[in-house]
Amino acid sequence: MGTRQLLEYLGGWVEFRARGHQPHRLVNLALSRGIGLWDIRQTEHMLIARVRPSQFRALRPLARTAGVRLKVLSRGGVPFRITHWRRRWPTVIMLTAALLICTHLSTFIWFVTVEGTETLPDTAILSLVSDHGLRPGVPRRSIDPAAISRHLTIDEELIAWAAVEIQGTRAIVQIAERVPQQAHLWKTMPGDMVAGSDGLMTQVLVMSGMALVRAGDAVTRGDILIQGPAGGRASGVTKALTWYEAYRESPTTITTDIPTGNYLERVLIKAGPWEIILRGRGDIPYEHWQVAEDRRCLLDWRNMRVAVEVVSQRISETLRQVEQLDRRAAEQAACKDAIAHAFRHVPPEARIVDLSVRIVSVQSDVAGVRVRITANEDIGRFVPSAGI
Amino acid sequence: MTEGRKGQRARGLGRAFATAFDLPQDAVANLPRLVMVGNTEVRIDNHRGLIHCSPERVIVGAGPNQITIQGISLVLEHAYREHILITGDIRAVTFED
Repeated sequence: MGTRQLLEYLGGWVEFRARGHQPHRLVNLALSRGIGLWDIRQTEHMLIARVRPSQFRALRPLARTAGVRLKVLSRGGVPFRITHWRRRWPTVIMLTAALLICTHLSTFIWFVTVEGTETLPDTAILSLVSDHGLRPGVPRRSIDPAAISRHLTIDEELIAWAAVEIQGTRAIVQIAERVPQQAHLWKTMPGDMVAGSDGLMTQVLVMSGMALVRAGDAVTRGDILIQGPAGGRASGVTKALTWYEAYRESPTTITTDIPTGNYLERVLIKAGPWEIILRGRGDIPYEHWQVAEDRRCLLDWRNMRVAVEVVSQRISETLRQVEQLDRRAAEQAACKDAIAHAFRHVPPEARIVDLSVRIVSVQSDVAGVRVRITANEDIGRFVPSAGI
Repeated sequence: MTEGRKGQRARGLGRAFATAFDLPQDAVANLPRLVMVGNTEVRIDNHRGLIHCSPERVIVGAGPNQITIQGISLVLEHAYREHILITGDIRAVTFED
């Protein structure tokens, strides 16, 4: 559609037929009155042309003067479209409402699907992602795919790799499981027992093969503990003391920012590192403040985003209050946290031999606690012989 | 007859004036201006109305002359007081007294 056609469509048009002896006289009369015509086609006693709807009424007397009879053939353009839809206002309202509802609903996640699982049940994965906020009905903006992917690999050790992809209202959780060793093959393979972690050997009981370490020896991860017989498989009990450490901090002060009620608002355009303030001041006259932002991307549809966004900021002044806590209570909190963290890595079959807690004061406003768990566990891991 | 002579004299003076001062003749001598785009479009400014219109021939009044456009599938694309635009397969443009 060219510019002229677009303007004609916007202004609307009436297509008419003029029948008479000399229909071109109507054209001349119209031109003399400043009435423009277009798409004029004429045969000997008939003329078809288009005119603006507002000017068609003025054509009637001219047609009588020219001795032709007018007949409207069709109407079109925006004014007639508006009239058409004005009569059907309930439909327009319903269509607009449907469009708004659809647009709003499309900002939520409605389907969560799992791909790539082999042994892990999909329900387990869905439950895991649900714990991290990804479930049907949540707003798309609240989802951080990278964080969820990271948490999945941490929470479930059978997951080697995970990715969360948002496609419209669908979230696809892609999983790659760790390759499970084939049990029957594993049991018959020749190989050695090696240390799965660093430790101090406490018991070496050989069932098959030759022990290369004795109780009291310090071993590091990967050291051969029991060497398998030629073409055979090493087996035995290889217990050692192992250590699990964790360090946690807890603040001895609580900082609270209380809004004073003073605030200023500003609107700015952000494009990458640049920002242009459209409304409001550039400097912030408060010592402490909180910012509430409303970011509007100029184009944010599916996975298409424009780096330019309009940001409305409300900067509220705050009064900072620092509350001093009981240092002992802070240390206890840090200790509890550190123990829980250290125990996270201790295997359930390990026997706890010792638990030591050390207060480490690095900074005056932070209570640091280091926890060390000493466990006695079987650190032997079977490793197939090289070349198999 | 007297009017015709007066008109001719006026036009002659107008042309001489336009030539002497290097002015566009269509503005000074009230002559039509034709702009053609290949043989598909002709725009006539400063016209005097439509005399005949058919798919094969369009005759437009233009001061002392009539401009006849002959061709195939000629359409009066639009007609306003200031100009007329004719499109189609134009074969000939002639001036007749």
